[in-house]
Amino acid sequence: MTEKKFINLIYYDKYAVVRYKLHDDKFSKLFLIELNDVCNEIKKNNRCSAVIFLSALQNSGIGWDENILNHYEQPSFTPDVSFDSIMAIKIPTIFIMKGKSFSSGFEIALACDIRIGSSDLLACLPESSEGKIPIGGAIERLPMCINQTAALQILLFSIKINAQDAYKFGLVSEVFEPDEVYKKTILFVKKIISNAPLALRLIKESSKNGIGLNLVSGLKAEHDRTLILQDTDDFVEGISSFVNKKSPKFKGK
Amino acid sequence: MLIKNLQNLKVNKKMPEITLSKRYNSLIVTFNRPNKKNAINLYMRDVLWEALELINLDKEINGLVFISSVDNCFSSGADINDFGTSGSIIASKKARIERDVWKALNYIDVPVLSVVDGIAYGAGAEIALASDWIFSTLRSQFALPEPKIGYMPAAGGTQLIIKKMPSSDAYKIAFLGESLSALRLNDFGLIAKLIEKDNILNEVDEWCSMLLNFDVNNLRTLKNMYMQLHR
Repeated sequence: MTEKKFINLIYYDKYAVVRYKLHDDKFSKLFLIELNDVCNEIKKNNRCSAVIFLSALQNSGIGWDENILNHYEQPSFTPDVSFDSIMAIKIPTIFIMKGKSFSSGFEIALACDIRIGSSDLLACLPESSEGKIPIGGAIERLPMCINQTAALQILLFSIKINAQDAYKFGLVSEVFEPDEVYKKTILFVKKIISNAPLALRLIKESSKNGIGLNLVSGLKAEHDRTLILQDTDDFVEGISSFVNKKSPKFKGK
Repeated sequence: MLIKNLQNLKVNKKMPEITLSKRYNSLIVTFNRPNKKNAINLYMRDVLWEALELINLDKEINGLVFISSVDNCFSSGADINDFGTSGSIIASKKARIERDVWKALNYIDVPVLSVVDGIAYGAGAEIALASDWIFSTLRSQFALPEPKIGYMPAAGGTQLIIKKMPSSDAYKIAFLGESLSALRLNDFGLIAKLIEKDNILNEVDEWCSMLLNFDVNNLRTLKNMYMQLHR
């Protein structure tokens, strides 16, 4: 377990949970520095096959701390507000969106691969209605996460979307009641980590890289990655288990 | 000319796991391997390659339809028995370069329709996703189960999901290896039409008939231009 001022990182069997607790639900400079450190630590842990991010409080987050807003446009500004450190994690990342997920609380979720919603979710990017621009990566990431029509409505018109809408748009893949969302997300993640860890990493890598590639290049790169997996013990174990109708025991090699 | 070309194909009549037929000017590929849930073996893949070659050669063909004769089953994916039979990674790479069925399917210059009733897993889902349109019954389920056997989608799955679906559900289907329903894909606009099981053949007939309203050369040109810009 790693316990910092704002973040609590706990490792379980093959997955990790990152819980953050913020004063006033606002993302501060110090929190972002801690988040960066935690993500770097997770990247070095080879026994972890998935990581869950969530707020320890009722809301995912409602905005940025004054220090960040006041200093954002200065050239010397650090740290990075773009949540690139989450994007750089090579294992599946899952975010639980709950309560008010505004501004930074929305944008941190966009940096993760899969989003699970709580039924009390209310998501919004209020910046446009305030004459401002989202600074946490939403402009780049939201259209890659959902269809462009919905993305533009959210970005340009600051519409608030509830859990039902979020599910319809594909912003979240599941919706659970607030008192069940954590437990059900754990069950969801346990299903993911029961699959071959190397396959999960290469699937993520292949899909992420495919975003920027034309299809023919993506197909070629995908095939090259399948050749890597064909040479692994887990592939042999997987095929053998399937044929013999057993549960596979993957070792990550 | 189309019928003559079909008769020249090396389709083994004793092993009709995959059949080619014609409806108006469309080529119909029917999966017919009920005892293996339409698992796509090397033979079927070779016939698929031949079919795509035929479309490239015969410019009168104006459409391609994938359909199954097996109830509640489009395809369960690649035949596991064929996994690892290429001998070496180099042989596997060589085979892919010389005969890239999946690239050929994704870049074929006629409209492609998959009519899915039942399970579309692995390569089955990838064929459907590679198609320009999917007609589906409500009971259909789409999955990429490869990570459950230590593998990953190899027929374009990781590329097609991220380009065609909202990312969270794309990663969900890819990491979990479990299915998404036709209704969920319909939420994203991936299902062109929800159809009734008993009306499948009529739907195929109507679609192939509809294509006759368009000049085939122009259709092919348009699709080529679209692919150059967007694929």
